[in-house]
Amino acid sequence: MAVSEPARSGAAEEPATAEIALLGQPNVGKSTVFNTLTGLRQHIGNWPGKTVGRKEGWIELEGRQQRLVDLPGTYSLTAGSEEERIVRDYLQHQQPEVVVFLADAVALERSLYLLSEVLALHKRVVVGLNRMDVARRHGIHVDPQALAQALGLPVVTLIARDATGITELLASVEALRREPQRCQPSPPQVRARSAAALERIAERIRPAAPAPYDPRWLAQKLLEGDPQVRDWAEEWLSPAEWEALDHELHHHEEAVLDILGARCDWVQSVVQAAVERPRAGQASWTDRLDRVATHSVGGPALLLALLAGVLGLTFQIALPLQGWLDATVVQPAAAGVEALLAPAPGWLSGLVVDGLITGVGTVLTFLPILAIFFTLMGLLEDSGYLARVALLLDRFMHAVGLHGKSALPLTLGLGCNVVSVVGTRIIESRRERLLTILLAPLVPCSARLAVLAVLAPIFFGDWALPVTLGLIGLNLAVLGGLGLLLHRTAFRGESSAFLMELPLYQRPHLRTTMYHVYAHLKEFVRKAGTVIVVAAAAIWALSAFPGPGIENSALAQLGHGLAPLGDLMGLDWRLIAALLSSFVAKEVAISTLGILYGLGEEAQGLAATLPSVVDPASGLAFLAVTMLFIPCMATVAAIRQETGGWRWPAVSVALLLGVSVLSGIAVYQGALLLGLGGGA
Amino acid sequence: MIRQVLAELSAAGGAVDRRRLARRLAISPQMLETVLERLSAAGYVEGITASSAACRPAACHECPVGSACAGGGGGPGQQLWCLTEAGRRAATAPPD
Repeated sequence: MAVSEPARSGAAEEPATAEIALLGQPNVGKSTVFNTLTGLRQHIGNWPGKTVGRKEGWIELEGRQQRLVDLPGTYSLTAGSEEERIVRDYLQHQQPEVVVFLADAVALERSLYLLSEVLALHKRVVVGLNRMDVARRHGIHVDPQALAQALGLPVVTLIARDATGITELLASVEALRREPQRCQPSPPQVRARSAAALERIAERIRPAAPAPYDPRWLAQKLLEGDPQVRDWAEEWLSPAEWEALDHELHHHEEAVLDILGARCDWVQSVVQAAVERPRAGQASWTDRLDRVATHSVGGPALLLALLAGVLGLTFQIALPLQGWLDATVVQPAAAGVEALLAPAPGWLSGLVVDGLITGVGTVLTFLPILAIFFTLMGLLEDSGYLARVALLLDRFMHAVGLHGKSALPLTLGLGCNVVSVVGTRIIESRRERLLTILLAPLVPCSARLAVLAVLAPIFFGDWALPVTLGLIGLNLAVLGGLGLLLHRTAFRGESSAFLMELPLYQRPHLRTTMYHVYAHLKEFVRKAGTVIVVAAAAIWALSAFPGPGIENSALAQLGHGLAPLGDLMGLDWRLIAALLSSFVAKEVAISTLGILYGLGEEAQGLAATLPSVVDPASGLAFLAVTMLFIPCMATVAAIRQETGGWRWPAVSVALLLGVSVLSGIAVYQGALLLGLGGGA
Repeated sequence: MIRQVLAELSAAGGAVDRRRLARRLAISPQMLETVLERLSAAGYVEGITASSAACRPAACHECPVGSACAGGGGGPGQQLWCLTEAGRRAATAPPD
């Protein structure tokens, strides 16, 4: 490990104490260096009057024992934490002979920012550049000589964990004690427009500031809004002087940006002089792909193409499997169980065969569709692409004027609307939060997409793909339209952007993808075994009693009661019942359809029955309403929990009921105009 | 540089990729992170953890939008940054 020295001239200040201080950000390897330097000669206590631990030990320098103080790890020297106050108080009051500043070669920028603040208080600094081995492994090349020249400080390269460079570090400290002029740092310079304000404030505080405080440092901290220095200034100055100073500070409240900016520019200039980072091939690939994937036009086009590919493949591969499962597993199972239960009461046979096997079995036959769909989505997710979808969706939401913090939880709703509703906790304003909660159920969640993936091919066969894409588009259009409406009326927040980290693209890992598929299918089967079983039993009971026949059931009576509304959307009472049952969980709509259309002598399974009894216009209206229908029970419960009452869940249900019914009517009437009615 | 970060965030129409912004400003992602941390300490930007408020931290790997969520797939603790009111004012304020 080498010691690098800057060019020299002039002299540095005299120390007040013969202590050496060890300083750096947390996790930079300070404790390792401290233990290596001091061995067992350590004392551990607390800083006076503080709860922060203080470690000091003894090192031998030029044949004499010298105290080494390990200062708390910190990222800056603004009085935001006890550690920060301890470090800056120590540097000002103790003025150690030499500060050993440990910097992280892997993340040098953050270390250098702290150093820029340290240099405002102390100039006799040796920089220990630690983690050189890790930096090398990451392809980061830090030139210690260039760094020393740029900083005006001696720099020693270190690998603290195997004590490499420790001897050179001690030698550098010794050399600096002998020749303090080795340090010639050039700290950050605040730009002119704020420099004048800085000087004026320094002059105001200079007569009152006690030693050892530097008025320029105090002035900087006052402009940064440092709470401790403000308290001191108020204490040191007369009320009139403080009021005048406070007025001036208020007038220059954005000077803090010039002060922070000067430090950041200084860090950047040092890094530019001394650090070379590789442009990884993976990063270049990511950049090239992202030029299309996140482009304002290319991005949505690529998303549409990929979505079409995923759905198309799902339909092509999985539908034959679904039909096979239905014909070879569910229907023979139903026939077998029916024969077994022949001696049992009729209601028991009906419940098990028509309710549970037909209802839950119908749902389970769609597992292949979901398995293929989630595998393809899992591949896209693991490749890193889906994060770009979040970015595109966020842009869309900003385009309709939604507040940045609203867009974030709504994006989470792609997975589950419950997460979306709970995610609105990041919004401080209650009004904006409530409005975001109202919009959250309009984001097409994975459950609704699964229902769409299952039912669209049944209703529309070869046309399933464009219909599915169109319905997702309708969902987003309604979300955008409502968002725009609310933004223009009650939702007048500022729209601001988010800064997010898009992961690098990578080849998907089969194991990760399979885990993703497994987690989804497990959740689906769990629902089928719990919520959907109970719902199927209830739906069967409602469709079987009081009878005789399904047309005289309680469910039929309820459905017939809603017939006038259903007629406008082209929905018969069975489809309305399926919609209502989706309140329990979106997937329950499938089992309900299975039960209601699977009853009767000539039943051939849902996939075969539905297209023959529901015309395309009604099917389209049904799917449109399903995509926009009232939130599921879990989402309503989440809304109640987050809003603390039933009022907002009721508003949400009413709003979405209105939106979905109006959309259903519009879609059905539009489809009739296009000649899609009566084909069933 | 620091005012440029505010201006870019203010002008962006939606989410911005950190790596891309760093490249546009000709700085390293680490430098941008440092700038954001300092702007956050000064109250001009605000760090938000996407998942912490909404999800059980251990469930990120099971989440259907694990990598698609605005957390960027980094799991719990991944920070997103957005402008505060002071940040928006500073970004749109004319130079002195």
